[in-house]
Amino acid sequence: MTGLLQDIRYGLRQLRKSPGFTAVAIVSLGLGIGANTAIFTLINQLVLKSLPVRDPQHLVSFGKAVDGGEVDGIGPGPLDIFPYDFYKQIERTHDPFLEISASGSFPVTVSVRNRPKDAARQALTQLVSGTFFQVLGVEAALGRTILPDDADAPGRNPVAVVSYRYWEEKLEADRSVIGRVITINGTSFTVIGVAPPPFFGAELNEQEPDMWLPITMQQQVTLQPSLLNPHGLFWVHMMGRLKEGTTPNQGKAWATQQLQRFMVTREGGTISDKRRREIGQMYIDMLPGGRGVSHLREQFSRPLYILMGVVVLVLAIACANLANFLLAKAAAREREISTRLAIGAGRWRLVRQILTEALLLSLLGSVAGLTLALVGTRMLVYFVVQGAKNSALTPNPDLTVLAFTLAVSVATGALFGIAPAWRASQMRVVTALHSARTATGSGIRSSRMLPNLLIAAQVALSLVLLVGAGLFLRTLQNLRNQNLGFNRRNLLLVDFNAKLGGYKSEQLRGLYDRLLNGIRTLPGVRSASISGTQPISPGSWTSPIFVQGYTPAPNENIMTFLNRVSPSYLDTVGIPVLQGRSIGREDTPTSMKAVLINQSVAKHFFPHGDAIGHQFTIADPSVPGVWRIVGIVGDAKYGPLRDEQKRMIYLPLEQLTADDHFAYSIQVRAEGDPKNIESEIRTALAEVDPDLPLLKVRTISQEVDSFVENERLISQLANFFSLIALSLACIGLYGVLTYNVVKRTNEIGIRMALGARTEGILWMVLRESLLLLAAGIAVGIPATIGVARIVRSQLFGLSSFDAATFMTAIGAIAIVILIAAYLPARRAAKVDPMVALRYE
Amino acid sequence: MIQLKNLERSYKTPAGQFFVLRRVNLEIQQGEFITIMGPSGAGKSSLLNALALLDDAWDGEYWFREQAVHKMKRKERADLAKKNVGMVFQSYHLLDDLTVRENIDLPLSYKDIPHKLRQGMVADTLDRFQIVAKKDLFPSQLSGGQQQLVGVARAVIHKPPLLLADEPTGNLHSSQAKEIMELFRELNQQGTTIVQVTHSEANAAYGSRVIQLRDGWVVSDTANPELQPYEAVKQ
Ligand SMILES: Nc1ncnc2c1ncn2[C@@H]1O[C@H](COP(=O)(O)OP(=O)(O)OP(=O)(O)O)[C@@H](O)[C@H]1O
Ligand SMILES: [Mg+2]
Repeated sequence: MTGLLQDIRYGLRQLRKSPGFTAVAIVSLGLGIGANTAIFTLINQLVLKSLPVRDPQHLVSFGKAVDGGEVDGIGPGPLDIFPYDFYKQIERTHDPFLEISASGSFPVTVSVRNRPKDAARQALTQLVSGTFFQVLGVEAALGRTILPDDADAPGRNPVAVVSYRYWEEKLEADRSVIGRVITINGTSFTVIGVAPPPFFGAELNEQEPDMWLPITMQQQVTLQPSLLNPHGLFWVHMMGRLKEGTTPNQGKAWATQQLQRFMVTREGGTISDKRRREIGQMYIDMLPGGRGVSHLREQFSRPLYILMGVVVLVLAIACANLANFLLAKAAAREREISTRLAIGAGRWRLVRQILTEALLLSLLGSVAGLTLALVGTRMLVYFVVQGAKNSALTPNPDLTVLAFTLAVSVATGALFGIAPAWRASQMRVVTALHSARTATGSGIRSSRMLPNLLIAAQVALSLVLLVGAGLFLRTLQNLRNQNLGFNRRNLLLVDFNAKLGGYKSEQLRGLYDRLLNGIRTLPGVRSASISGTQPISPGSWTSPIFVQGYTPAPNENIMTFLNRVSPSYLDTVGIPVLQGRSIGREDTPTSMKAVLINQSVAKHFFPHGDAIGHQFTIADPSVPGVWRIVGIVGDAKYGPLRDEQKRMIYLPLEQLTADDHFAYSIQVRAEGDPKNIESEIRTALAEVDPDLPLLKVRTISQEVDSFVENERLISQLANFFSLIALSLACIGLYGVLTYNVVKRTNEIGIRMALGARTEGILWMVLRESLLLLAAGIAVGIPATIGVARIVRSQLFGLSSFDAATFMTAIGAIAIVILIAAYLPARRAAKVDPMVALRYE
Repeated sequence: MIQLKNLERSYKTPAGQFFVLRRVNLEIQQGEFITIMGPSGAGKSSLLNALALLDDAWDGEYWFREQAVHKMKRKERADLAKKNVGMVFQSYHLLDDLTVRENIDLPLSYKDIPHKLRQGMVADTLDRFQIVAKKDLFPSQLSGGQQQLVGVARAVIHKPPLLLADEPTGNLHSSQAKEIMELFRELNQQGTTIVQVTHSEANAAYGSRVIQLRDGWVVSDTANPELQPYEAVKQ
């Protein structure tokens, strides 16, 4: 024990002796460990951590349950979204399960008045079944949770459980809040409970819900037609708690059987054999639910794993630097060490001293790393949740993270301490003392071997990282710069919701006119339009279409996306009309039903280019009648930027009725930067109706960027880390070369005394680093190709062997390495032989 | 061959300027075999380093075959030295990373000598110094005396017109020392000008002229009996 203390004291003294290098070492390690900690914190929260609920290991999710919405026309394959009455049916028996719960597959933004005279505020709510809290095994912190009785029939009961955060921030942490009546979208609800502080529901998403409401109150909460009726749409996610001793597979078999039976009954007596077969291929996966469901996990776990790989490499490079540092120190102490050995010191003791020093360094580094990670994680989380304020993702490290950091720092300490310790243990007393006597100081060749190997390895790793970063950067550029099929200069997008504003379908026409006029008359506005969904965002309105005179092949996909647009839409957004005409003022509710199709639709249904004038019907019953194709427009990108062009048809907003007449998107084409007129537009819209909820205002560039978040995350961080890695490698090379030059001062002096020229000396040192560079790149290229193959699926618009990226990376490394090598080389060339010869 | 006029060398120390060579006036003729003697710290090595053009921080004039070395740039001096000077260092200064053979080859490698020729010269030299058996060993595997032999071999391999030797036999057995001295005499007879530093009267006997140094002053020179006693100059 005292020995250990002594070692620690000795180690600290050693570190203090070279404060400059100790600082560089701690910063390098801090960067490496910090980056690892930051990425791991996120992986831990997104992927590893369990929900704060009872026995999370017994929870299963019915399918992935990450995509929300209302859908119909479900085909064969795995199912993860269900109609409410399916839930009602299987919840009655729930055989292999203790309980089954359902929740709305999308959060609902509502306007809430916490007191009668308070201003209405927006809040995020989640619709849940009466079994929801029981399945999760969560008790209220205050009051009670929603119980089965609260949600046993449509319209029952107007009760709410609020989140702990909402209670603290919006309800003044009032302990007498239970029983208070609040107004949600015009309906009175009674607060019955406050959820416990860590609880955020079963979904880990950008924003955690402010309150949970009975799913049976859906109509009052969503202000939409009921989704609770038999034969309703598919819109709920389900979870279950397995009975003790039941396996997920048993659950899967049972639920699948229930589902198929349900589907057969649902579709009535006359099901075609084909449909029967399709239903036979439907199934429900039982996935572990203990970590909750999360579309963020789906979206970000791969990028995060890639980044974890990146930061591990960065740490490896930092370790190599430190190993070199300690090797150099040990070499400088060779004489001391051999003297100690000669007078009888134990080798083990020496090894322990060196390892202690390494561990001290790595622990100091991990303290620096944790500090950096605190900042870094904050930025990462902000990025992942896109600035959402109330997220269940927190940047704060928990015990798992701290344990991880400790483990990493001990592992790194051991890693970079082992080489020097091994060297010390191998040292032979006689040779060391002997060479100390002859003392020409350049040391034996093999003493430069290990540092050189480490440098070459660093070069190789840097190449891997730089090429990877380059590939991701090019991918991001390719995704962003691809032709989207519309004009993305100076376009501003505004989301609004007339339904939340209390408008009825009949009032919309006037509202749209007033809104568009209000905007168009603003200076700096070129044009404006209204549509169902924004460019780029595909929306979720899809339906099969039946083109007259076109017989689809069996199983042919005849689905298309639908958008509803005002006459000025194509013009404003800049989608070209290729054939026929656009939608215009002449397309009124009473005129012929006109429709535009995009090129993809035209190609699919009219390979001979004769689409204009053809007619089709749309399966969606809310747009009945026969639609005549009046024009073909260019394909514009809808949906993820990697996806293929989608089929899209544009219906005149004017010709739609009831719910379909509601449009939620405004597009404004500005003369200049649309950010400059954002506030004028807000004012103009408020003048039309101050109570009209404006949900989101952003430029098209921001919108496009939101589709490349993963790519941005990977690309920016991979580039950032690869630059750090390259700098670390340079510092390492510079350090090793400088150290070598200093060690070889005497040798260099002799060579000069024997006639070597300064250029010769310069070249001698440069040649050494060129060799290291070449060796590193020779090893690095195959390694890079291997790694590039792993990330191939993340790339877009370029191959994983992209020559330009490889050349750029190699060029960058070569330049930086040569600069790092030139300084010590010049130092060597400036050696004064007189001084050098005295150098012992 | 060489003419030194008022050569002075000093070091700046915290205590002030410290002279190690004082007003050295010296003429060395082609073909001379000079011995420099004097107590430790007298400045013998310093004088040799100046002669070898390794040191260039001295003041005064240095003429080498009518060329004004004191006006030369560092690079020109280095070239001059490379062509004309071979040096045996007091502390050998062998390169630990190189074998005996490579060490001996080193001066040749800095000249434009064809590879074949070089190999021959190295083989000859190894032979002459009877260290053929050691040619692939590293200096750390040699005894002190053997290292010194290699140092001498390295200094003479390229047959420099001027050979400077700083205690070339310091670590050698007297019979080995004798061999070295015989070699020096032979080289001298073939025309090499030699300046050696030694404490040994026996070695000095091989030379044709003895110069005594003390505290940086040349106090006696057998070629110049009229030299004023240095006490007098010192006043
Ligand atoms: N770099 C230096 N800085 C200060 N003084 C120096 C330096 N190099 C040599 N000296 C001093 O110059 C003086 C002459 O040294 P030099 O090596 O020439 O002595 P020497 O006559 O060769 O002695 P020895 O017989 O011990 O080899 C010594 O007093 C020494 O302390
Ligand atoms: Mg000396």
